[in-house]
Amino acid sequence: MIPNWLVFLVSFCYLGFLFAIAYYADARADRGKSMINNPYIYALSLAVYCTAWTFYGSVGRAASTGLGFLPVYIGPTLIAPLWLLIMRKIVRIAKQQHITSIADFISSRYGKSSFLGGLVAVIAVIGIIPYISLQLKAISNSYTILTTFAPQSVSIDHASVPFFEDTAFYVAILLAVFAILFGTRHLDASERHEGLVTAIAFESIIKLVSFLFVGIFVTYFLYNGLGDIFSHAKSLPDFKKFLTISHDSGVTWDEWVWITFLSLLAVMFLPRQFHMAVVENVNEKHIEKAIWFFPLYLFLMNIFVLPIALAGLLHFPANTVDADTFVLAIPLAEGHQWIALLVFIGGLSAATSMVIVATIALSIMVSNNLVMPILLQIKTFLSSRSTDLTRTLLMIRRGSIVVLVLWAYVYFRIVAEYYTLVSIGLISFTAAAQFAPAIIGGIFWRGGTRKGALAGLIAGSLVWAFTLPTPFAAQAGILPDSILTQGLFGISFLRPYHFLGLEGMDPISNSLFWSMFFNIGFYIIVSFSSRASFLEHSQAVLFVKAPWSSGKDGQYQLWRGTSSVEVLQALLIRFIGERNTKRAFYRYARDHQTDLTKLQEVDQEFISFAEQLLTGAIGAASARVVIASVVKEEPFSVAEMMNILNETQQAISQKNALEKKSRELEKATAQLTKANARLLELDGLKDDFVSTVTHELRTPLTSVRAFAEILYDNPDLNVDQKTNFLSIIIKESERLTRLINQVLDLQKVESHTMDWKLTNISMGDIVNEAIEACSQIAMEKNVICRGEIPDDVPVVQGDRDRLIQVMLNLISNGIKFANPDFGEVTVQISVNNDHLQIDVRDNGIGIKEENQRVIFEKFRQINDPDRGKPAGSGLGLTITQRIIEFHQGKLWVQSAPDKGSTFSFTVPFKRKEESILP
Amino acid sequence: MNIRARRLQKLVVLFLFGIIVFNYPLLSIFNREIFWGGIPLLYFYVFAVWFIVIALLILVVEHKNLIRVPKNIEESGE
Repeated sequence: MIPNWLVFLVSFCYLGFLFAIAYYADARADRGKSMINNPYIYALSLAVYCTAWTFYGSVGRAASTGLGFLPVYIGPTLIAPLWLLIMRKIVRIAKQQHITSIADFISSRYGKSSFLGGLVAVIAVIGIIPYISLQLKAISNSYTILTTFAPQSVSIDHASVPFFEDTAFYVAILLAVFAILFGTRHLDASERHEGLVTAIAFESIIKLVSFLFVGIFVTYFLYNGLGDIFSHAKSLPDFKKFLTISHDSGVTWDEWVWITFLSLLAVMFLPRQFHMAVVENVNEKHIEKAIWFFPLYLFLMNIFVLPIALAGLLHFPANTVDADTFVLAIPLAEGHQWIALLVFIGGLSAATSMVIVATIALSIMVSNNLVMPILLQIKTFLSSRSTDLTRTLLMIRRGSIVVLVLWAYVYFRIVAEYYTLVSIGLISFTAAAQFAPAIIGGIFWRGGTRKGALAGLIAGSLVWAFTLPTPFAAQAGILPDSILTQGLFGISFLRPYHFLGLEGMDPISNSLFWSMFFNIGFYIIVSFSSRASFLEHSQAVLFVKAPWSSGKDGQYQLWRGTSSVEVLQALLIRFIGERNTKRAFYRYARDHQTDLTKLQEVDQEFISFAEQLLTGAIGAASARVVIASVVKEEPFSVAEMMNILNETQQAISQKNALEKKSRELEKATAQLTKANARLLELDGLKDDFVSTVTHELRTPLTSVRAFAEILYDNPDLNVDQKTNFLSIIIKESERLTRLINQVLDLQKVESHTMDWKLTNISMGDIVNEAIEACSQIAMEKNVICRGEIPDDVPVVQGDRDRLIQVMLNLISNGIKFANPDFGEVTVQISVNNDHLQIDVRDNGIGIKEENQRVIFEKFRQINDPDRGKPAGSGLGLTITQRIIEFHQGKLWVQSAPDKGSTFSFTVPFKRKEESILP
Repeated sequence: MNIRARRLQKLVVLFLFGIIVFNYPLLSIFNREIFWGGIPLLYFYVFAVWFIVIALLILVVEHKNLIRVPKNIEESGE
């Protein structure tokens, strides 16, 4: 037993210290040195998750269900990795929109709906008040145990203690004072509460340290470590249930899974968690640290829970001491009163931190989402000339804090008697989970509409109310017991614990499943079947896109109307005070480099700015109503909507055009590259051509000059020699002339400047003429030249002279390479379907396979070591090929070594007109 | 940007990993009345895996900070 006065003194000293810390942090922040701009402080402040329920209740739950206390802490660990995805996005949106509570968040997302915000606030208050009262109960319990502990008498009868003798009452009052002092310092709730956050982080350290302390004390001083406790515990009658998850142990698999899921949602969407994680967040980078630090905190907080529970069960005979109080009872029973006092402070810190943050979070919702909309409905409220509304607003918030704390206290005195710590906590968790679909859906799914969110929330919370609080009311005797056993109105489908006939689930899982089922179901179905208003739609875009848009972009034209700076300024001064307004206006003017005093009519950006200033103070929905009262709003006409659409459309088509352009450019570039490569190749060819031609010209020229010089230097040569030399000179000059003619011909053909004379001609005549012309050289070479010409060769169109040139060329080639002993050249004309084919066959040495292609190239002559360099320029076949190509025919060769060669070409009967060259 | 995207992916994987290791049926393997050094197997498993998950979270989240040494720059940038 510890004397009353000492416990009293210690608790109030502790609270006093808390005030001092908060005061110090606020004072520092005012000097510009922030305490909370630190990721560890942020992560510690999130540990407000661990309440008196954790501190006392976990041990109690472990004593009855073994590992069943764990899912509540595993859930947050599981979801922590996704905070970069979810919480960071929420934080960004909240900062951009000046959002200050979960109700404001949902209301703002779904078109700044007052009704939706109010509904969320009501659900939050109904769901959380019991939870707050639970903390007061824990404080009261721990106080009573500390001061009156005797192992045999533990039944605590709160009802018999008048409230003015109840420590919990005074603690509650002090907490309300704390919340008012440090939670409502600024009217703009989106400003950070430095003192509050620092104090909460401090409390988180205290509760962890004291719990670890008692855990180590029990495990290593009362026993010899973990193994020792477990081996002692084997003597407990129901020891097995502490080892496993099974039906006998009190926690089943589905309970394990469902509670994990539940706590995973609660750690983000309980109002106090939302307040700490989102509203009080200074820097979104801090979330990263919290991702591992917060799970680590929970880990440390839970290590010794089961050992303490087992030690408690070993220490106290069955049911003599409430397992929820083991943490306190063990040190007391062992006579370590100072340790018990330390535990008491730890429990106190856990309870007070929760009460403070939860009441502040709720009071913001109550004032901004419940009281404000109602006040704005009263016509005289806005028009009344009471100049300063800031005081009124702060009073509303402070008043609601007092009301909430007292309400929780009254609830504790009347109802909370009947509940254990954990059960009420889980009921609140399930209530908070109802916000999850609207929030998660709201930030990831554009299609969610106000009606959908409304339907989901109403359905989910009604199911929740029926499946969890109703049975408690029945157990407490407020409602008839028959609801539990026979169902509402005797309908067995409406039994709260077996809703719609679902058997085999524990109450929490049952409630969570059905409330989520209806909540999500209605949210999705109604969203699909309803249409979003323009405001809803633009907010949806803003929320879903949030992480990628920073600052101003993404602001839609939400306001279309006119107002003046003076009117807006007067309005803002009434709501947020003169100093704040002037400062904000000054900052706006500086950032936008405009002189507000000269502005006649304000643009929509300025109106949005004013709206956001107000949002921080009175919530999104109310701010919109207030601004609308002074901005003459003109509804969007269809034409204007079309304009906005058109702008978007234009942007899209411009983008498409650009893409097309760039594709075309790419194509053009590719073509140019190709053309360039071709040009380079041609350039190379030209160089080859020039060098070959000059070489070919020099050879005859050299011999002409050489012989001419011999004749000049030796005038006394005999006649025979002279004649011989002169004939060589003549021959070489002829060769020169021929060569030059051929080069000119080739050049003409290739540059398409050849003068073609197309007439109807007979190939038979041409072949005969050519054979005739070659007869002289054929005889010289002893070659027989024959034509095999059918009687009726059809007439074709062509240039007579050029075709004769082709035939002469081919025949003289054949003569040149024919067998030197009994040479033979045959020219054959055959008539095919649509063309003539002319074959020139010799019986010479033939052409090797690999040479058959190159002979058509310019200046290509096959240097055969056996036969030396043949006579000729090497242009003949190239020119021949060009001429035949002009006549739309083909030229090819068939040959094999020592089997002779056959040059064949075709001439079609009918020219294709389009390919006549200009 | 790429590093950030990869980190996000790793975190999502860790989330899925946590879901699996703290759940039926994997948990049921360790759901036995066996003692390891005097400590019940399931109790040991849950806390050991919990600790491993936290260690992995530290690795993933702080990895970037570990390689980017100049801590003062990051702080002054805030």
